[in-house]
Amino acid sequence: MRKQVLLLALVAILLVGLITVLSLPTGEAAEKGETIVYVMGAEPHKLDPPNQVDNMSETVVRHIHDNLVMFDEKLNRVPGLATSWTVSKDQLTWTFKLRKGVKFHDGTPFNAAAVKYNLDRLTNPTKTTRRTALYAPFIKSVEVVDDYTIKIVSEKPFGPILAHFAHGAGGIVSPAALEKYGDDIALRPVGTGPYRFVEWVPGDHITLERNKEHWGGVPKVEKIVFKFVKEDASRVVMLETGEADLAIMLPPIEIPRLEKNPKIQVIKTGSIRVIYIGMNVQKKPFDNVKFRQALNYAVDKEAIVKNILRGMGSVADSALAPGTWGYSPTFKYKYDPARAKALLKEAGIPEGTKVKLWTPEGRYVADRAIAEAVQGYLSAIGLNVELRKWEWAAYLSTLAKKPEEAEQELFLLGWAPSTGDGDWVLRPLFHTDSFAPKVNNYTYYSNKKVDELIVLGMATADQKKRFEIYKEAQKLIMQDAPWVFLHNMDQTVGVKKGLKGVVVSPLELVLVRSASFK
Amino acid sequence: MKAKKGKSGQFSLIWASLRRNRLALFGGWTVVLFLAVALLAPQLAPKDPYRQDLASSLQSPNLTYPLGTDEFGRDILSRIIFGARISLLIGVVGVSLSLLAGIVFGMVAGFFGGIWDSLIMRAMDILLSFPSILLAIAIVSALGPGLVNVMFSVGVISVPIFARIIRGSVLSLKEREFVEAARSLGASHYRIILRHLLPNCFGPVIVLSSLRVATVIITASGLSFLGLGAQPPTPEWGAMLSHGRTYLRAAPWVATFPGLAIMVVVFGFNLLGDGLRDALDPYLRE
Amino acid sequence: MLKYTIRRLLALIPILLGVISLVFLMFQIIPGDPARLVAGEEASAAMVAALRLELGLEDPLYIQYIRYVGNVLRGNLGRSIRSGRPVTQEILARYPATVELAAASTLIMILLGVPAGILSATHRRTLIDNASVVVAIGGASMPVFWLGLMLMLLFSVWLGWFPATGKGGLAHLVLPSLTLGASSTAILARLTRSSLLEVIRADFVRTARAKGLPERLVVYKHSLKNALIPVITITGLQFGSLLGGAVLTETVFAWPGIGRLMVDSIAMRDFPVVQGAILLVAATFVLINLVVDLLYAWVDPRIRYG
Repeated sequence: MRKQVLLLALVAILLVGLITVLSLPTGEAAEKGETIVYVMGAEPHKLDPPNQVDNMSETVVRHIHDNLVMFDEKLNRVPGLATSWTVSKDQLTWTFKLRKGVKFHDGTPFNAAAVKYNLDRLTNPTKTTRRTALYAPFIKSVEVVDDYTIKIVSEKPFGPILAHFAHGAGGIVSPAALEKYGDDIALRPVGTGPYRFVEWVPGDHITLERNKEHWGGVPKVEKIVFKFVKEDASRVVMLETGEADLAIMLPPIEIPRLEKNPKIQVIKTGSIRVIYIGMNVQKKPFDNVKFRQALNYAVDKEAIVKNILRGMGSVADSALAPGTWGYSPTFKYKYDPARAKALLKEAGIPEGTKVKLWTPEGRYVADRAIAEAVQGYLSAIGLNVELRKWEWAAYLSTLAKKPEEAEQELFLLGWAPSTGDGDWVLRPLFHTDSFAPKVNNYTYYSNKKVDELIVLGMATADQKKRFEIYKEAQKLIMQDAPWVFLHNMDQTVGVKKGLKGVVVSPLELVLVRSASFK
Repeated sequence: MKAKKGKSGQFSLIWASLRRNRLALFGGWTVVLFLAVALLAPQLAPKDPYRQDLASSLQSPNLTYPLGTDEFGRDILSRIIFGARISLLIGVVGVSLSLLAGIVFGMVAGFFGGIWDSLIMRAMDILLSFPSILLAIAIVSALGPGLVNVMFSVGVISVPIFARIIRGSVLSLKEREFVEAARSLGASHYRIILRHLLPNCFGPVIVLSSLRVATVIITASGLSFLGLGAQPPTPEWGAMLSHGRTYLRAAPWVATFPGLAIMVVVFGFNLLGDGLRDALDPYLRE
Repeated sequence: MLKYTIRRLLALIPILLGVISLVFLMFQIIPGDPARLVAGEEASAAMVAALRLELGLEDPLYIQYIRYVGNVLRGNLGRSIRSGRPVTQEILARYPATVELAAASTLIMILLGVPAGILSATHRRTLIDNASVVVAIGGASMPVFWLGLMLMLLFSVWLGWFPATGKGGLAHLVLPSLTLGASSTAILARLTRSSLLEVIRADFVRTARAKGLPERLVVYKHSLKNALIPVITITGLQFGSLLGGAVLTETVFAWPGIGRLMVDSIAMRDFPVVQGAILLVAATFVLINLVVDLLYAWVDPRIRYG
């Protein structure tokens, strides 16, 4: 008897448990109605503008917050919470006129004091934010002129200042909420943006609801639900079954099929991310520019873009991607294995020379596959390439070593400047003072002329002059070939037909701030 | 398990039972077939499994490429043939590692008992209370992705299972007459373990090994799925399957054939293990 | 029995301490710096160093260890390095989903596995037996993520019967629990079969048969209930291990469970979350084992624990 009872009881317990769990409110909007289900590839880390550093967080943050200066689709700087700005003759004092009648989601009024509170927080030397480095170096003092005017004083002229205010970290947060929640503001953000925070169910979704009082007009869609779906194939399926209204980071191979689907619209645009294979130029034989150029000639970038990325990218012709401010095309190392071999000979590199090629997996679109293809090409010109795939965390800390301790030879990485400005590519990646582990110059590339140009560009507020300076720097870098220049990544977004107003920014951000269903 | 002294008699009994179990035989032959493929890979493979040709990437199965090509234009058939070596190696080496460690721990715990037993078995309990794939993930994260580290990690997760089963067998054997007899004749611990205990644990161990090879191959493919598997361009089936899943819709052959290869070989080991269990069990032997 | 229970519960303490120490050790060996990861790719070395200080990663190892154990004893699992959220919240947000999926998979395992095993045993060496073996073991021989993706393609995309991802109503549960339950179903079916075959040959069943009882009655009345003992054990153990999360299934179906949390946290080197989650999982596993053992003793009074 006991046994039957037990089995029955067991089944009954499981059933009851299941039913209970199922009948619990899931917190999800039951009625689909005017909700955008937005499917992203990872869960955001923190929703506090200056403390978020990942794209997913920034995406959500930019729906909840506004900046003084904002980027439009083409990365032009347009008025946001500041309606206009002027700069003094000596390029040291910036005056911002602020928008009137704006309120934070918690009812706190937006004014010059709120801006000062935020900027002080961004430059506070004792309690730094993750992005303090973007602001502290150029903001000397912040002054409230009147309720709707604020003055920012720098020590030196700073060229990319507007881009830094438009950066995701420059989202203005409610001072009252900051006082109230402290660091927990990252879990319950309060801004002035078109959508207000409702809930965050860890591991599952974040829900926002529209802010009817937004200065840009009433948002048309009632709710946005951000869902975190890591598996590429699953995001595609959700788009096809209609479970998602918008899915980002679609695998290139799926695009042609999705484009044929009458219910789906695929948006393809460029991004400012360059994918490259860095070379440790302090290490033999990579210290030889001929060898580095040989590698550039050896890899068929066109074929990689065509066959592996299925056209979702363009071959890089500069260290900057076309969407980046300051980009000018230089030239391409056209695929030419014969020339590569000749250069190897000139450089005195014997056949069968061993080189290490490192790559992460799952960090960039098709990263491992691209590295595998590059291995194939380099083997074809007679090098003995040892490919190694890394787990991201270990990869980062292995790359971040002093030049004399560095083990890397060839390493695949991508870079997208979060300010959208060329300065934020050239300075961290190519300046001598940026050698890893201090900053991100993992190639240990060092060229005096380039260093000078970078510094000069940073201190030039005249944007035309700055452009010319960066043009020169890009050319020098291309010639020196510290990278195997691969490609600029395209972004792919799948959208349910009828969803209008999706903004795909080259900063790898897909925003639905003012989207609507037809 | 009945431990009999006449081992050859037992073997023929098992064999007789196994021979009548058609599924188990099928499993056995599958395993043998794949072993043969692995050994003869260079002779069997029509093409170089590493040779890339981006121009002919993702071709569907045709006369030149019987199972099609992957995204690099490599011949999938040749990669599967060479991959047999890798996947079987992972299975066999992984299980051998855990078997060895399991024998040592299980024997010591069961034979010497006392503090040894408590210490070892508590340690095994701790390992066992970890979700096994997580333990494997942690180990590979620590050592870095790669074939050897994958073998090691899938080996570690099976250690407590082997240790337990061997300890159990030893405990029941220890008190039996033939062990007592050996002991009273003055045989050393070493000799008792090696000559009397070990051979008599053979039954359950062989069943478990066969089943674990299957599990280990599956677990290794899961590690590949999480980006922690064998290094590219190694033609490990799990890696081929998990990389190929990107093309599951547009070029299904890239993932499907390695997936089938895994499935068939794992199926073979499972059937074999299952049949062996039946054959070794006097109740089920018929 | 009570004494035994208490002793087993006390044994939980060294196991959990062992788990804590093991995870701690693991994070010393694993390369990669959580501060660097949460600081972002663009962060400078100075930023990373400041963060390490803030997170207490610069303290000597033994201090970190003592501090952690002390906090755990006070019921404080710390905060996630990644999100800054209390670890307890991170875990509790996911645990219901894990329990739901584990329960559903276990149910599937019982509903499919036991009947398949019985059929197999009563029709030994027939087509039915072989077919059940092939289906059961075949399902268990597919890599889980592949099975999951194929089920998703078949049932969500092509047939449109079930939603592909996420947690929600019953329909959301079907595919992930089938995927997760496949291999346990095979194990259970095989176990039911061999356990039943063993019992059928036992003396008391022979007696029943000799008394001339109909075969069906012999099987169901006399054999089955005895054969079920090991089945119950395995069911419990499988349930226990399913509660440890199902990384692959959760990833494919975007199921917000604890397995995914642990893997993501390992990747982010989010040490406090991994610690907390593994502690919970290990404790659950050990407790369920204990319950299974106790049930076992209750069902089979011949077994006594001292």
